[in-house]
Amino acid sequence: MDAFFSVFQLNVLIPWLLAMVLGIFVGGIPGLTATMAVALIVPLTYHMQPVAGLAMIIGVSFTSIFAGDIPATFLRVPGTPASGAAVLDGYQMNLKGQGSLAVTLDLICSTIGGTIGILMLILVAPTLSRFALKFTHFEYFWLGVLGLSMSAIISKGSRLKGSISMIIGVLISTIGIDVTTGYPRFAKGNIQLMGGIEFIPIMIGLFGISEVFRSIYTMQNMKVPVFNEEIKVSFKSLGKILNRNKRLIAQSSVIGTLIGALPGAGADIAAWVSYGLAKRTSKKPDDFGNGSEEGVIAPTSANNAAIGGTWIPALVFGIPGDTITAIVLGAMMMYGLKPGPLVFEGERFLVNQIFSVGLVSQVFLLVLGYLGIKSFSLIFKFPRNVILAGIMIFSMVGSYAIRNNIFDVGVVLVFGIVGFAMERAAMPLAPLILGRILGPMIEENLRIGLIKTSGSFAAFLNRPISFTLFLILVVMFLWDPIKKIVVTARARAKKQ
Amino acid sequence: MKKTFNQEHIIGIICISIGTVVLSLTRSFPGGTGAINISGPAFFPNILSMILIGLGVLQILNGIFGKEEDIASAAAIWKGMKSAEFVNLLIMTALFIFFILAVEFLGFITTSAIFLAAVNWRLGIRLVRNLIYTAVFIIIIYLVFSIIFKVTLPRGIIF
Amino acid sequence: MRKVLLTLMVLLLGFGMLYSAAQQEAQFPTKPLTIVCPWSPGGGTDRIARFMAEQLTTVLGQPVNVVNKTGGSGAVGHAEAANAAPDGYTIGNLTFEVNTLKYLGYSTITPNDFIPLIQFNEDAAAVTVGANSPYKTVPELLNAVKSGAEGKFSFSGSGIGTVWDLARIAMLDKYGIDPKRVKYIPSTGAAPAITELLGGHIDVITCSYPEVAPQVLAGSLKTLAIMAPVRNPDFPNVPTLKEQGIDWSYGTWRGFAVPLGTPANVVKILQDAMVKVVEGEAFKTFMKTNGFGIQVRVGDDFGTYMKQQFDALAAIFKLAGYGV
Repeated sequence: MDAFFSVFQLNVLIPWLLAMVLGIFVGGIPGLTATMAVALIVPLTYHMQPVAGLAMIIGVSFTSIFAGDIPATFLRVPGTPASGAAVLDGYQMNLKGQGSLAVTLDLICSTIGGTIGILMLILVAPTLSRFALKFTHFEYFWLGVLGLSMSAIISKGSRLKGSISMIIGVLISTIGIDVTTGYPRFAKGNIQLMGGIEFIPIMIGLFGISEVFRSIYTMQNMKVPVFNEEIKVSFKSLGKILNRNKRLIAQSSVIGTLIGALPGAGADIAAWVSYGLAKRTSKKPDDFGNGSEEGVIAPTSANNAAIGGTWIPALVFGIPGDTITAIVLGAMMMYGLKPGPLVFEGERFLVNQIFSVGLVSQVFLLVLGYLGIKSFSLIFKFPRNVILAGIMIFSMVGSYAIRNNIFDVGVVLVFGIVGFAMERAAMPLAPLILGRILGPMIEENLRIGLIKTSGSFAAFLNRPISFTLFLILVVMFLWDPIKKIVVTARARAKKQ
Repeated sequence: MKKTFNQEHIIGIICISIGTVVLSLTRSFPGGTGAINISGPAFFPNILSMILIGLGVLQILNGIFGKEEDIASAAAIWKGMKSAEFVNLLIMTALFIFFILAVEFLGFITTSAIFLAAVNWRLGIRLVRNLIYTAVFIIIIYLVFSIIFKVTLPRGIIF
Repeated sequence: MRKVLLTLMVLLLGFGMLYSAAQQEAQFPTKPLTIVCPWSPGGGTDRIARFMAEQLTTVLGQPVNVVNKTGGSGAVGHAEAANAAPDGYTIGNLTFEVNTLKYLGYSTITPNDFIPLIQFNEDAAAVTVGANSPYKTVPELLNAVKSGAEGKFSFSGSGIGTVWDLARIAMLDKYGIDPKRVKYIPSTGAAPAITELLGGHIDVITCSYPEVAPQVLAGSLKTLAIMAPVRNPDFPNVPTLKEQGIDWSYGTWRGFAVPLGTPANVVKILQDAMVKVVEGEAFKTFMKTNGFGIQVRVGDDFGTYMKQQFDALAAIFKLAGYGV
């Protein structure tokens, strides 16, 4: 309890809240990531007490991952890698004039997801992290395949075109230095390609710039504001929606935390997987991709829950769960703490402080997120043409900022054109992104796993977790036929 | 209509060509090095491109035998494209390319000023407003990226 | 009136020209400097670079910024630094990987493309095994590797052709073991390799001691030896490979350099400023709290060290069968 109250000192609260406000910007602007913000914050915190520094890092992670959904919903530009899945139904809701409802749902579900993630961190961290350690290449391979199979689930329209889109995404991921052998693939002499094609510029181009191109192409409604109506939400209708989706929120948050706790997967994968599972388990799967509330709720709950998850291996074993916690572990040394298994036992007070910060951050997120939505909505008072120019320049500078590389701006342009053409040809875009994200996970784990077993595939199936994951995959694929059989059998039974 | 050349064929042909190009490129990859001989760097791209070629063939078959409404429902990429609209796209692409090529030479401020002013002009914003918006965007971006996030924006010959 | 104005303008112009001339003659540096860091923000190299930048800002009197140019296993950043204008305003943050880029076929950049300024860090490779591994010294482990079946032991530590991989290859070779007798499980860095070792999925990792120290202190891993000539005063309980009878030391390092063609007086100014920083108390405290080892080599000493390492790597790469 002392630990809980100790976080409410001014010299903790002020930097903490400032960092959370900063997080709204980080999330709202494509190309700026929470990792970048944390890397910038950390040197400033060396002279503060550890809890203040950690509060800033935790705060900025939560607000930025939430805020990434705002431009994803209104402009179809994902603000962070983790909000890629938010463009699917959020933007569709926006087109139907329910954009404000979508972002409010994002906000509420983000805080709920965040809270569940932190609660799981508090309650089951040691068990979960011991479980996560059992995962190795064989399990990560199936997890990747499972994620990729979502592309068949998430894509609207033709399965065939969805698969083509996915394969192209995976092929793009093979460009650059091959982790398994160190060989630079498809990059003869081009040092830029050697580093691979970053996935954030692909995402910005494919979703954001292609949409800009589409608007510019038609040149319609250029001089009218994007939204005439005030952005507001009735909390009454919200309660109803939340109530009817409570199982989904819980499901997505738990999945998000579990995936976050795996050192080899993070918030972006968590969002996609929970989106796919939500569609699989939904009663109205056909609404997905057309502005379904479930399609908004699932990824946003999962990606915020994943933040709590990434801290699980970090606190229990001193193993980074993602790039942010990797930086945190470095920063802990500067605070005079030895990260690792000893922190969880020896620095109990600090660990409790971290828990408190995590929970209180959710309350702050609710308030700051609301203000963030409000101030973001001011932008939409401007006419469409101004906003289009703004999206373009911010996307360009944002993608430059990822690695200070002008090459990435070129990637945005290329994928803007590709996305524009693909949409006109009714090719779904999401599977391409998913392929780019999960391609390396599948390839590296498959090949490195085969090195481990000297070429035998048995270990991919005869380990308890890998076999379970394989079974889940089979069930997912056979779900539709099974359902059909069950339904017809039932109908027949009724007739008799 | 059904039997004529349609965009399903084009998608199929693109898939097959990408697959073929990848397959021909991977021929020069080494066959696994050192202790790693199980699967060289070409293994995965080869599998992918074979799948892609297969999907491309299916796509072409779909274009020939598929239901007419399925094919028609996806408007052809070029269908209904008017030259005026196409010009808009070309201009935006050209401006983008201009930005990429010029930014390291002219610097961020000059290049984005030219870029924004041109985009705004093309999108029909009048001169005074155009200049104001351009200035405001540049100031905001400079503040956010350069001052707060310490991103070193390209500096050119003037700025 | 007009005459007055004209005179004023001429005067102003004159002053302006004088001022700019004075600026040009003023001592380097007259504008902000940039350190090109080839690794991502928040990592070890980046953290040291940012600290050094902060310190150099006070010494040089001009802002020093860190720019991360990542990608291609360090190839992008190192090439960027080597190809920068040789005016001293762009400083390359070199790391061990500059030696390997050419061998791996990533780039034509070698240490010979730089004027070395200073090396300020070195971390020896440490051989670490699981806590319940039966081996207490490296020779015990290597004897088991020698007598065991081929491919029985899995090593990891980082990616293919990285410093930890090369350190392992040479160590095995020194002990008369064909490096191909063990499996090498490539990973994207030391952290995932440590995770694998903790999960019991691999047998041995090679990486720097500070990276595994938390796990070792907690008793979940144990370090058999570090590949250094003498014990490290920061962790005196960890024996060296030399003590255990294998004369082999290897490790990663970080340093600064400028492109070839940078004027000698500029090199001197930068070098003096950097020497001043690394001799300061703040630097020593920073390195110690972060667990980074200090090793200072200035100018040609640093250059010779890099070149020797670069030449010696040809044999190690051949042994492993990597690269071109």
